[in-house]
Amino acid sequence: MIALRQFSRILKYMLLLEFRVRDALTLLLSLSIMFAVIAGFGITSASLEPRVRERLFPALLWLCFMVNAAVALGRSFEYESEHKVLDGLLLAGVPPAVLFFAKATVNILVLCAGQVAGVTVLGMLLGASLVPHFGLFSAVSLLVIVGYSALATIVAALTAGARLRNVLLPLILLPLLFPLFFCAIELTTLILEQGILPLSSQWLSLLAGLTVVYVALGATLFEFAVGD
Amino acid sequence: MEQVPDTFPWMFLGYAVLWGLMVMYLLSLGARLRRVERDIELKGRPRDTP
Amino acid sequence: MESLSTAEKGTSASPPAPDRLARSLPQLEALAILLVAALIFYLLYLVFMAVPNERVMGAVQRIFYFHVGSAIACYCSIGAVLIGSLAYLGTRRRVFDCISEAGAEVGLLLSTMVMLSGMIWARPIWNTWFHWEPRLVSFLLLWMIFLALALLRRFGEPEKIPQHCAVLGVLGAITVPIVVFSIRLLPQIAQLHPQVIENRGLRDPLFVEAWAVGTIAMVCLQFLLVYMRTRIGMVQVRLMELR
Repeated sequence: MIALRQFSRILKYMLLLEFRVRDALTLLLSLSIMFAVIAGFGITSASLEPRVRERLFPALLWLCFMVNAAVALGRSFEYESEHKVLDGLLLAGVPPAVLFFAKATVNILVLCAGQVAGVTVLGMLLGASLVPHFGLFSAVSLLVIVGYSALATIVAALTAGARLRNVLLPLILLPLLFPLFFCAIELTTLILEQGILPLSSQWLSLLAGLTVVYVALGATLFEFAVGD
Repeated sequence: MEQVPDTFPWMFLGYAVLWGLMVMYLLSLGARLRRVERDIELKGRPRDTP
Repeated sequence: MESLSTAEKGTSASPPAPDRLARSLPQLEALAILLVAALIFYLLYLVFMAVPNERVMGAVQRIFYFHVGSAIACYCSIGAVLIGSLAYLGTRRRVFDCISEAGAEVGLLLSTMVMLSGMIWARPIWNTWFHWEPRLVSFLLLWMIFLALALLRRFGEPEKIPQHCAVLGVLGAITVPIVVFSIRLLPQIAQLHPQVIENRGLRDPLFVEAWAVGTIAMVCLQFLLVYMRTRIGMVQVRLMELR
């Protein structure tokens, strides 16, 4: 109960901070739109058939998401690192796992906003639509975003005090994300082409397993990432 | 009779790369060890044992 | 008459085991280096003097004997990273951080060797430097994980590098089997890499002998390099503490 109360208070503080500072959110939205425009222009210039463009859409969508989110989340611990906020909270007796879950939740919300922007703009420019499959795609997106956020939160904590941290985070994070990347692309392709998401799908099982593993790892290892 | 392709130059390149990398790493280890031994001598401490 | 303790008994008593080990360490190290060197020279003899030319690929197939051994040694390196990282997080003893650092560095070297030798082997056989097939992609990702560890070691927050690298080591090591498993599920990536061992393609006994010696030699070399690098790391740690 105490942990839950601490979690809700810290989450409220972090959400307020993110709303006021808006570093990660602004960066992610701008990058998503910019990448989508550049990708759309490149695809259009290549004069590809609509069928081919639809086949490329899942890969481009998730490529856009993975790279832009890694760059944007490099800012996620900027304020806390500068003002030693996490040190203060840890000294006050807040469990590191609570801090992890609060930060990861904020990152999930930021990433959801970025994903909405990316899907919308890229879909409009490439003529591919996920609206008919909104429910299925949202479920897959949410699983991917939760796993991504868990991993990105802990890696961002590792690089918060490092030199070249804005470049270091994507370089360190992206190799760890490839399994999530594969799952996201395969499931999105399945949804677009067949309009179904079978529960027996190996990719769905792998995605669910990865999400659980990354959340568990993040909660366990976070104290080593932020502590002394 | 089946003609065996002449891929000797590629084999030579492959081994050159493999051993080149290994030798460079061993040389860098040696350089690090010499630097560390020099630092120890400057400090005048006895040789370290693990 | 009071009985003397072991330390007071004089030179007639044998020294305790850790002291004996420390005194004979240089000889053991020299013996290990000689053994590994002998294995490597024997392997080179087998590869260039004994093993016949492979009838489809020709001479370039001889890269196989170092290539496969290095790949297996890479997995040993990531194992060293995982064990060192977990042990450091549990005990905070710097020797384990040195083991993890050594494992990552040697792993980066070996995975670079595997990637480059594989690409050089692939060029005349597949007519391409790289192909998006399961083993190559999983090794490319392994290389990137070792690179990530090296980058964090180089650019990380100075006071917290050991524990941060330990965290990343655990994450990276756990990612490796996940990557290997998930890549095999990808349907459009055709299996192009030779499945020599699985398909029992080594018919000639000399091929088998060279492959076995190559694997043992590279794994022993990996252990030796990790040991040497760990020793250097420990000395550097002691020097830093003295400053």
